[in-house]
Amino acid sequence: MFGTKAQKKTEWVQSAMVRYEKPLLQYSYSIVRDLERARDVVQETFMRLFKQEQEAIEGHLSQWLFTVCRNCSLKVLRSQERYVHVESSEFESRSSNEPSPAFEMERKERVARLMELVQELTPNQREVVRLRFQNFHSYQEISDITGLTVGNVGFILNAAMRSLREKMERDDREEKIIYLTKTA
Amino acid sequence: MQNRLRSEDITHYVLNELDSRERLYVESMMLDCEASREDVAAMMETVALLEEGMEAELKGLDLRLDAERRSMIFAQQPSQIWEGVWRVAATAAALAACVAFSVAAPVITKLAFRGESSKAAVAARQIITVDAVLAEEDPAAFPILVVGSGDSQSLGSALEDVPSRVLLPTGAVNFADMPMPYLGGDAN
Repeated sequence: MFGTKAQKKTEWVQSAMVRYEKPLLQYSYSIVRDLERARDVVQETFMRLFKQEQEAIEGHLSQWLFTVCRNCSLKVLRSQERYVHVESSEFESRSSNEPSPAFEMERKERVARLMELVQELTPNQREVVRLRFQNFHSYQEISDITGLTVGNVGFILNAAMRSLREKMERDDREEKIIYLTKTA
Repeated sequence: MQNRLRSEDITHYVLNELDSRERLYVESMMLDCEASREDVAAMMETVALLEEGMEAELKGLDLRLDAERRSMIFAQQPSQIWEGVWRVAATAAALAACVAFSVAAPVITKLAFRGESSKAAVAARQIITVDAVLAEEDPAAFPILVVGSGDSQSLGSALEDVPSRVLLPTGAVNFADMPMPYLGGDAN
């Protein structure tokens, strides 16, 4: 009897790992910015899952995992009192070294600039943006994970998107001015 | 009159977070509003760039747990088994205690009350005379009828040998324990 129950628990955790290991690592990495620490966080998350009763979590497993992962990641961040900023040079070094058409190059530059601007968002905005565009969570799921209301999630996400767009458009205008100044 | 959608409406629309009714409203407003359509297009481009950027950030990273970490997760398994064993054992012990108590409770209660009923009987003992029995002063009591010579003094001494009335806690009279009235002769 006990062997069957333990086996079922193991299978349940294994299936959760297959499905959520990578998304959780992505999410944790986006917070702690260190792959090894992100792995520690995800390990801790699944160890806690192992201690839970399957019936208690069934139905909201995703929210539970991301909430625990978030709390553990924030704890790691606070314990180290470190905020890791992704430098644009580091980001550009990850881009492809293959020669690309001018259009592709311009697009990559825009993407790089946008990711720099993401780091300038407020912590709340940054977290909600990552949960949405990196982990593809709905407003309700983000609300369950972060503890914010659904209305707040929508408000914060809208504010973040508008802020990013305005800064991108401002950068575009400044580039044009610089270009026109140089050619004049 | 400017009839533009709110910026939140457009964001929620692009992110597919509107219900069907709200979505229909936004799309109907967009039909007559060039600015809203441009806003939606710009927002969709921002979304695409963000998703691309998020994916590129993680490119090249090995997003998997190593074997050592995996083994530590599942190393908790034995304690889970023992936890179940102890839980079942504790439940069984509690059930056994409840059953034992329910069986032993009447006996315990009987022993406890027997002392009390004896004391009460002693405190309330009266010399029951034949006259009182015949007069039915205490119809609830099971009379101890002593038919003898009728001498009250001998009656009193005779009554000292007769056991007092015993009542069980339930109020029932245990006829098996009740002394039969002496009817004289070989009637008993």
